[in-house]
Amino acid sequence: MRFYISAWCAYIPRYRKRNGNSLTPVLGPDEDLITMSYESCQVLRYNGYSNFKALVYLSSDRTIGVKSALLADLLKLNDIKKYDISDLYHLISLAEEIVEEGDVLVVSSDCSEAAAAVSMVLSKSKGYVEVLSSESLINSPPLLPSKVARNDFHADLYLGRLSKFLKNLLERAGVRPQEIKYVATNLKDLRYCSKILKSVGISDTSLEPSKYVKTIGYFGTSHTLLTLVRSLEISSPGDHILLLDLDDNFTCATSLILKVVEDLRPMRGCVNYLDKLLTNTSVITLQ
Amino acid sequence: MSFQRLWRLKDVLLDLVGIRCLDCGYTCYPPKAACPKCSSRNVEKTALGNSGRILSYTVVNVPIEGFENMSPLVIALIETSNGKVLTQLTNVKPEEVYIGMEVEATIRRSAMTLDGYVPYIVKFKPKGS
Amino acid sequence: MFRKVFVVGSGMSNVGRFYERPLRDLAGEALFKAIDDASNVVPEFIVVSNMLSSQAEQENLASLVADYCGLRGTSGFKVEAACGSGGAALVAGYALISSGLANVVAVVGVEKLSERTTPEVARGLAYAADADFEIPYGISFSGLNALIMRYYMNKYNVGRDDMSAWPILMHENGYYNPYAHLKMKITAEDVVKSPIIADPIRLLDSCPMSDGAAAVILASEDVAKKYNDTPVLIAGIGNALDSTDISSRFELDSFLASRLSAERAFKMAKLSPKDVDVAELHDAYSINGVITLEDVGFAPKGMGAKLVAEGRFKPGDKPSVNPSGGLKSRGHPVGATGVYQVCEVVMQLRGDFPGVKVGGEVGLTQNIGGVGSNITTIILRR
Repeated sequence: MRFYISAWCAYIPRYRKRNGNSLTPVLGPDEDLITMSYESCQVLRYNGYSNFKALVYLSSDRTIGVKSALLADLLKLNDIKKYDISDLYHLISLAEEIVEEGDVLVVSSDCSEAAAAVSMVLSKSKGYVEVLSSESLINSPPLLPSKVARNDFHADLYLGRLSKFLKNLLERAGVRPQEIKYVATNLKDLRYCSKILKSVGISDTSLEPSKYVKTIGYFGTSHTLLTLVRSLEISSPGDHILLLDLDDNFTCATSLILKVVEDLRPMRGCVNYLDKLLTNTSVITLQ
Repeated sequence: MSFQRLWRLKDVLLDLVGIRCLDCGYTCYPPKAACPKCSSRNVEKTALGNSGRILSYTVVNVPIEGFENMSPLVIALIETSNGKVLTQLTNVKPEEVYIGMEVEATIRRSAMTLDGYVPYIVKFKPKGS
Repeated sequence: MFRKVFVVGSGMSNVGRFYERPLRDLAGEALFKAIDDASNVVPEFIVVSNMLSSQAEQENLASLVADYCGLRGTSGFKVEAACGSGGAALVAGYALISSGLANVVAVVGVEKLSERTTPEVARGLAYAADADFEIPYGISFSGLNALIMRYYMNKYNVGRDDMSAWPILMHENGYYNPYAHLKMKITAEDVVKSPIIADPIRLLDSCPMSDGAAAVILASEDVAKKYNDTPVLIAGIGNALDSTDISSRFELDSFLASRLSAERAFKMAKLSPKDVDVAELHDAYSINGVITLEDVGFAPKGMGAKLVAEGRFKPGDKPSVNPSGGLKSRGHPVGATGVYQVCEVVMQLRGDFPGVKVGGEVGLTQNIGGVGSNITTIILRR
């Protein structure tokens, strides 16, 4: 089922905390998930995106309940449908349904390690980036306890399955592996990711946006979408992007193949450029 | 700041709703029942824009009760197209603030009230950040 | 006009922090002194001015003070107008006599700010600002004045040292005032080194939080001479209000209420600013003193601080401003200050002020509530 991404905006707080040698983005003293999401949605609003059918809030945070309703109220979006989900797997299946009725505002935000918020607008019929195919792979039990999942043996076990899964996806999209320009993934172990890509036939250099975001920090549930934003920032019309979201326990993998169909330059001028946000030299370091 | 008061003022505080006098055209914030310039009761609600310039600012070092964790507190008087508003500045270091700086509105958490609630209020941050 | 009103007695307590003195006792001291000064007259009304007695968990102050001083059965009430309560109480007292409802009225101002911790008192003082639209942001009273100070200094290109001239003058005068709270001389360097309360206001720009009580006895023209050989006439009295919030003010570098109340008082007295010999202005912060110099008419707009820095308004000048040391040095027992100011000017005009003596024929006091939201100007004449 195809749909389009017609707008996006990433928000990373200006505040940093020292973590060994690096500075991790963290919430400011007067920020929380809702304020970060609000700020990223405001940018979309200023650029004319305000007519939504639904708001889907993706986050694993448990401290605030019903975030979608809170955010919708602050944004004055009163008559729309609101959903709260906790992983990308749900997002795709939900989005594919609702987008038939109208535009969907997707917001993802997390602050468990590094803090950020990403908002995206999904539309049925037109946009800058087309989603060519999407699929989720559910690995059945026995379930791996989280400690064990980092074991190389298990990773190898799933390598085959993931490889087949991705090849299948590429075929359905009608895209050859060599055509994938960028890979946006939340996998922490990027060497493992390289192995998967190699087995499918995708070059290593495509991991550049994921590597870039990983050096800033790990953003929890928003990590994958943040790497997607980074990929969009450096791509041109005609590029293909593979999005791979995998949870720590290898229970579920979700993947999208996207194609940039229109010149992204107008969009770049008016959203918060990830580059600018991250290299902001005048950050405020908290103790 | 009690809970009832916060609930009552939610719209005005979050949308920065002031008044415009339909007789003499004067706009101001906070909203009043009659125009301060010509005393007419013929006033309507109007939103203050989302952006403005700093008219004056201060860094409060001796906070009032309840705001001890928010030091340094930067408070500014901001001129928008429809009136002046007094709020906190956020996302900014005190050294960076100057008179005439352009700022835009955003929503942030406020300090906990004396009864323990955390309201969302409008604060201003440097434009483009 | 109605009946003329004279001041026939005055009394003040020292200004300071008196943990061992209860509120009623301070009020009693001032009231007895004033009654003694007025040949032991029995007032028909007691008007009490105070702002934060609720921190001492006491309201209903007129009953308290009257009964404590042996005046059970007298009439009276409390008047509140933030830090301008004293001036407002004097307006009430004046009206009672002028209208013919009473012949002798005692106006007692009393305040105890040492009942609670500083952040609590600061929060209480901020109640003079706007509760719904300013307090949620955590702005303190100093913060509001700091906004105005920065705006003024930026608009008129006034430097830190020019502004410091005000507190330096205040302490020069207050040093000799036996009632004063802070008796010490300061230099420009001291001001710059003092800690920042709310940028740009420094500790030495701000008045202290004080306890104190002052009282005056007002009498109608026909009986005034009975109680005092040198009654002082209240030639003019004016009051004006402005908004509680500063964001909807018409101007940020001028207090509308100061200008209006002064105009009303001058009009009633048939005098003008150049006639004034001695003035007690309300300098809760240096910036208030500077702006009201201009609003009352003693200095052109923007020149207030600069003129003080040049040496104007010292004792001997016309007008001499705040020979008592003003709020900065004499102190600011919030609800009582307005009455202190009148006591001081009355004593100056009679020639018996125990501190810096400047004498004169015409005196002026101005008492401010909030950030210029309730101002009373009184003109007195020998």
